[in-house]
Amino acid sequence: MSPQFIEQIVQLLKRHSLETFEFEQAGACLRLALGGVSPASASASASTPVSPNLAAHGIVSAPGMGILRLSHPQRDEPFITAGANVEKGQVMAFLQNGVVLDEVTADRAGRVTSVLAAEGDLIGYGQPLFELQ
Amino acid sequence: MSQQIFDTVLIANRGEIALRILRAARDLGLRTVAVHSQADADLRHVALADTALCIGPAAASESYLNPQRLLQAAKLTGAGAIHPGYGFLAESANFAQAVEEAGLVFVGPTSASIRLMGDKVSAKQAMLEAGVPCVPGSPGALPADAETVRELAEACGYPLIVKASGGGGGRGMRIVRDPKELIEAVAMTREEAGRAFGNPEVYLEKFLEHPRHIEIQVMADGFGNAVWLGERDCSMQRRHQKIIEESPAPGVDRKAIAAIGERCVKACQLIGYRGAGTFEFLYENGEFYFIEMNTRVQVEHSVTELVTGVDIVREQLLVALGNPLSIRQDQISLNGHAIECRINAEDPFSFAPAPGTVTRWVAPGGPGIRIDTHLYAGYQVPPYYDSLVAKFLAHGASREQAIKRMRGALAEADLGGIKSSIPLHQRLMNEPGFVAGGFDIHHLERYLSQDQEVSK
Repeated sequence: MSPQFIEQIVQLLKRHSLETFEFEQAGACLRLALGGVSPASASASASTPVSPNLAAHGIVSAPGMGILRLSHPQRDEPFITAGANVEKGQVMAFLQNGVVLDEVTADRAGRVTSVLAAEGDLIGYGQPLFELQ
Repeated sequence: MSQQIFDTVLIANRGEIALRILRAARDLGLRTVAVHSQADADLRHVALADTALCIGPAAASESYLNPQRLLQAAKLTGAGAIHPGYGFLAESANFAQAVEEAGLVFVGPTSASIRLMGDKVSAKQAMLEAGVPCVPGSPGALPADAETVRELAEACGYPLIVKASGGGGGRGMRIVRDPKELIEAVAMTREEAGRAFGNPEVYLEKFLEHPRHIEIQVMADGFGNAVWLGERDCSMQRRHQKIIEESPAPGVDRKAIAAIGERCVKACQLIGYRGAGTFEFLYENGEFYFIEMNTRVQVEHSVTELVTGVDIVREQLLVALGNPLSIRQDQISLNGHAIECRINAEDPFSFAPAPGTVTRWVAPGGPGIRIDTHLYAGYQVPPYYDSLVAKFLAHGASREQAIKRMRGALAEADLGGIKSSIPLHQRLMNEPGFVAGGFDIHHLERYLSQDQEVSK
């Protein structure tokens, strides 16, 4: 992970108006966040060690229990499929308890690399549902 | 049974009792749901249950003690009954009521029974009505008039103890041995109670110097049938926590125990009790004094199972399914002697909790040995809950044989990676007071303090 590599990424992010970037390789994790932060300080704080916290790896987990609904009951197509980009706070799925639907929202922006549970699954508290990159 | 009330039981507990309930339910062909906290995903019963569901984080208040999440889990998994085990919400009348109101079966008594027996005053009243003896004392707060106080004290008998109504945990009480000290002791306790608890009310109770803890196991159904399943002597205690339990109680007149057992049965019928329960007594000089009723299955129920041959947890589930008791009083007899040692994940002598990873576990075995545990090699004992990790039970034709078998089991157990109370039990199984039997509830603390003196 050379300084040139990071510089390239920052340029790419700017060009595509993206705000955050996360990259993992051989036990190292690079996370870039543009926006209010100057590019210099962003790249300075970029090379952080891999956190043991799963959330840092981009896992969206269930905030409660319920039956997983990957699409709204009144719509056909699922909210999220692998490869889709999500924004922070975006509704990704519902946990159904009887007639009540509880939202599962993205706690960060990113690209969905995999959907870890299936429509209709019984979901427990804290269960991983989506992997973001 | 074509139309069963329920076919799925949710186990609202953890550890050894959750595994015990799972096995009983499985024997009856019931489906099981294991609900667990995030810290307990690796529990043995979670692996064995038909359905497992994480209901919340490690904190018990957000998992095992959270009625809303338990009911939500029951709905999601189609469970028709909830077995609360012991501890957590097992004696919460509000939880039992919430289960009833959700249209589910609470494996235990009605919420009304739990409420009645959970209140010290109403419980004592119900017991007296059924002819169950209680600790004598003043009926309520002491009046101001000194002469009336003297009369109440005479009726109760010396030595007695003056207790603050608002007190607890050993604070706000004074022992009176001499009638001449009574009035002053009452005045002083009132004064202290007013200052410490903001409530100057005090009452009298007979003080027992060397009581034993003896309890009666009962089982009742919803049709007015009730039986008592012998007694357990649980006098080996430290800070009110039972360490060793046994049945029968050594050296107590069988007729006196039978008389108390019959009155407990009567009390069950009087209050419309349902399920497993325990009447706890202090026993001194041949007299029993009711302390409280536990309206649930207890840790030490297995001791009674060994001497009576009755599967108490199975019977609980059968009663919950709406069946009458499968046993009659005349079919119950005590066979031999059984002892239970509670094995905790803690320092055996400082009693400091010692959670950690179990690196090795080889359970003892052989004739008369039963080990109730959720341990396995690789299991991590979490720091968040009660430290009980195993119950060693030994059954023999005589007390002597049961003790010998227990010594063998304790020596045989191979538990690595965590500290446990096994070494303490090994010493107690050879301690003269225990071997003789019939010791009081202060015996263990006396023994431990002497032991500390010696090792100084």
